[in-house]
Amino acid sequence: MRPKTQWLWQAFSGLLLVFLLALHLTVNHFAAGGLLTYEDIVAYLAQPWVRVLETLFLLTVTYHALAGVRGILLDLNLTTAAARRVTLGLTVLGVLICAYGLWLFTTL
Amino acid sequence: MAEVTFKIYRYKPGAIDPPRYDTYRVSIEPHTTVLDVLEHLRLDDPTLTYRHSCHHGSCGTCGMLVNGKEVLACVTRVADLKTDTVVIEPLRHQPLISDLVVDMTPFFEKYEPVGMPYIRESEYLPHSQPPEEVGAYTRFENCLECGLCLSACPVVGSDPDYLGPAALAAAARVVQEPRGQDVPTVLAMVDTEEGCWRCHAAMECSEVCPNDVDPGGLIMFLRRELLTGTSRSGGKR
Ligand code: HEM
Ligand code: SF4
Ligand code: SF4
Ligand code: FES
Repeated sequence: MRPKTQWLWQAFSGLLLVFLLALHLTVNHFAAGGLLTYEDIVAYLAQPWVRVLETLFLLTVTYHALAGVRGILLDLNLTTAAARRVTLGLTVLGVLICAYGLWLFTTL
Repeated sequence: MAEVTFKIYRYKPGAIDPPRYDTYRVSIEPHTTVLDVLEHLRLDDPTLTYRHSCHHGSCGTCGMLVNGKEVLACVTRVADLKTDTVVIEPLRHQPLISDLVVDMTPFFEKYEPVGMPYIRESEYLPHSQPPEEVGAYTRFENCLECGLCLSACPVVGSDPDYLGPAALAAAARVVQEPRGQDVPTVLAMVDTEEGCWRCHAAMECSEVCPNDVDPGGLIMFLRRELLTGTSRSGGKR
């Protein structure tokens, strides 16, 4: 990805997060005291639109956070090879995080 | 007259090595500047080195850290600092030569290839009609090439390959007012990982810039320009 495109995706995912994070925090933690029991959470996540939004939230926050960490690590004057390793490592980490999150949905 | 303690960073390769701080007590008047103090001390110790020329904030050579902040020594009054102890150190992120003198070569290696013209259209006389032989009123560009912004920028500190605020600001000025420079070439120079996309918008550069260049704002201008190609008309000044 060109640096310009990377920045655009970072800003776009950040914008998405404004809404998704607000929604996630409100429903999970604030509205009506938050989801406090296992049963509450399972019932909440059983709704199809919630699954769509929470999946989008998982993908967006993972991408945004790891791409942000990459942007910071690249400030450390890495060699091209080290920068490539950072990108690869963070990509693998991101895929693992998303896969784990999506797998958790299937266990409910 | 008030007495103020000055702690001055001293370093000379092979002579004052490792570096140390020398302490002096100096009486100051309300208008005494940091540069005045250094010149006074130098009468007793000719080995104390610092850079200066104009004494009025226009040559950009007297940049240093005063109480940890990047300033031009010649326009920084000691009384305004409001501290009993004033710590004077060389600028950060640039190779140190001696005492308060840093090597500006890396600065100019990044700044000069941009090729910013030194003059710009004057915004101060919008209503006056210039004489025919003049054509349009011009004035000097704002950037003093002092390097304060490079010292303040955290990214310059961690990544020596980063183009840095001064060169990026100069590039933005070329885009805003090319005066014969080739805009696509300059845009290509800054549209890189080590160009305007490396900045984290900490805006420390704009905070310390002594002449309102606003490098941080100009970096954001470059990004808008690269993303939309339409902000040219929105260019300030
Ligand atoms: C309200 C939601 C959010 C918005 C609007 C937002 C926006 C942004 C933007 C625009 C950037 C780019 C900054 C730059 O150009 O340097 C950024 C960077 C970053 N974001 Fe977010 N973000 C949000 C939430 C989050 C969350 C929840 C995390 C962590 C889990 C996060 C982690 C990061 C990191 C690590 C960076 C890189 C820092 C940097 O480049 O200086 N952000 N964010
Ligand atoms: S705005 Fe960008 S260039 Fe200026 S100090 Fe911050 S990171 Fe450096
Ligand atoms: S942009 Fe400002 S701080 Fe940076 S070199 Fe130019 S005048 Fe100095
Ligand atoms: S001596 Fe010229 S700017 Fe300070």
